[in-house]
Amino acid sequence: MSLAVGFDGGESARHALRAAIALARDLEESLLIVCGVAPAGGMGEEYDVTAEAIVEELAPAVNEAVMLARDAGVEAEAILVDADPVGALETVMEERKPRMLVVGYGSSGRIRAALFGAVAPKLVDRAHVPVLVVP
Amino acid sequence: MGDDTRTTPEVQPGLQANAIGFVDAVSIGLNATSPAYSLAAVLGPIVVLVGVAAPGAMLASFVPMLLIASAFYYLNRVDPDCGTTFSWVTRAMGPWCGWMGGWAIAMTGVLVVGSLADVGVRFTLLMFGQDNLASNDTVVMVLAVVLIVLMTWICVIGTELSGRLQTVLNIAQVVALIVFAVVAIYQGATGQGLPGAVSPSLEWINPFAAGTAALTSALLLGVFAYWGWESAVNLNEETTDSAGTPGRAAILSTLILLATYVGVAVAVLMLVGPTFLADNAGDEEMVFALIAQQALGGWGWIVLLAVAISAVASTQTTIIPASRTALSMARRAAIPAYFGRISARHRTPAVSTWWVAIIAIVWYVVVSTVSENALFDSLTALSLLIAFYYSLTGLACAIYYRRLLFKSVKAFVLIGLGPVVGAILLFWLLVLSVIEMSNPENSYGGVSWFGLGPPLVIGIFLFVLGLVFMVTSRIVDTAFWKERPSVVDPDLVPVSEGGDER
Repeated sequence: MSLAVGFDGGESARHALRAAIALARDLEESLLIVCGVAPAGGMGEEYDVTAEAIVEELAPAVNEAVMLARDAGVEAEAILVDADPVGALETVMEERKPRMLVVGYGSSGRIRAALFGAVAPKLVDRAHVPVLVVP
Repeated sequence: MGDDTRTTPEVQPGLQANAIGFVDAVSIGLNATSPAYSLAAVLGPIVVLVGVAAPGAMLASFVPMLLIASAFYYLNRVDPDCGTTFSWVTRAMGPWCGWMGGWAIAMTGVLVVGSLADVGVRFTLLMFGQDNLASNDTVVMVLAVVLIVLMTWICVIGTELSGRLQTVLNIAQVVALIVFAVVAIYQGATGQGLPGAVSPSLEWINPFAAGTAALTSALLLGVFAYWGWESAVNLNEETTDSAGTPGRAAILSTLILLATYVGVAVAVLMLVGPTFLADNAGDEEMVFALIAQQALGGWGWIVLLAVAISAVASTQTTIIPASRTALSMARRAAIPAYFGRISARHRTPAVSTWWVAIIAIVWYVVVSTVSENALFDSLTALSLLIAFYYSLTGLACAIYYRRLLFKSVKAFVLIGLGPVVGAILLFWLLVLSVIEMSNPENSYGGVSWFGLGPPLVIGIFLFVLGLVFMVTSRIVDTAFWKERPSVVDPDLVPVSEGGDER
């Protein structure tokens, strides 16, 4: 079994990551660090170029996150999914069957969350494992 | 996992995120052209220019569009990764042509944003009965700038309308237009039209009926109305049934588009006639609203709402590709790497997106202040750029496929002849329009800048600006300029079209 944590390199995601690492260590579980890398704005022109650019931009932060977990003695793996953050966690939930999902509360930004909905509540709607929301 | 985490990680596919059904595919085809906005923007000027030949001009403009769409389809198939003129023309004809194509496509995408916001604001105000505010240019300009900033921010934080909602909005838009056309045609046929209304005749679908030089300007605006349609044929494997769905969806969305454009043009002629439009030519931004209220009375807001939604939604679908083209050019070192900076958290090219907005706002404010027929002038200038990069794409298709063209009849007709004829038609239109606009007496408002028609001045200005940036970039000598033309890899093409066995 494992825990899956949503990660986008932002401040809130880092809080979630630290909480997930601590939890994984205490529960002796492995950690899946999940990133959605699909360009926002959907299909259309230059989609793949944008996706490549996003992956390159995220790669250092993701590698750093994996290292952070391993330094804490947790077995960790990064998974990048061609989907939005919610879709990425859903995909990992279906395919890797983690026992819990961990996300930051503010990863979408407060204004955006107020106007268009945040990752955490959408995830709670769709998940069939417990979701831990880190403030 | 081993110690390989220092490298760029593999990306895994999501949960069928891209599978779309038939209705959605039709909707995407319509969405790319934003029919309600296009009609509101160009129908008035077209009728003023060619009178009863307007439906014919609408039909005729579609011909080059159809031929160029074939080029987009076949180029997209062998090079889908980047998917635009910039990349294809660079591959087929080298960096010089590619850069200018990329410049033209990025500029059209950027510069149309102001017009979209302007129309969106005006029609929203009209819908709420604020007719005085809607005709106050300063109020509209301020609100349009606010709208551009807002829509850009939405693009930067990566929020999108759900696909389902977009489909509903697109279909509602077309339904509103068809309702308007049917009611207006009925009223015209039963003698409830304005005194200037005309009775329908078969002559209307003959684009040369007016027989004047104004036809070139009308055809150019017609090309603008169909601009974006090529993406309807570019839906390859993302659909749920990739064998039949994309083809049928493209045909249906095309028929709907043609019927709507021609139908609304006929309806306008039958209801109010060319004289009404000529009398109101000064209010070209709102002429469509006046006609809608004439036809539907208290229900006119349906058409106003359709136009407003179409225009506002299009700002988003326009800003995203324009910023991605800039990103793509930056990543191939055709423009400074600064423009390729990405917001990983929001998954958007944040820097190029904000620059799209800045340039769009500056352009919109300058043109609205300087020009007396701002909408017409900037759309005609944009149409010149569109005709330019479309013809470049048509040529690039034939050149990129040149080794395969003579291996089958189908390849020759669809990949070679069609796109080249389309390119020639558009280039011819471009030349005619340039000659036409060199004489300001022929221009829409009879205005002259430096002895030339304003749209031509704008077009030349943009083209020269592109040349300056290109030469600067060439002098800095980035890796992009070392790219050399190539040809299609035959392995990517089916045997029936002259390719090798897969």
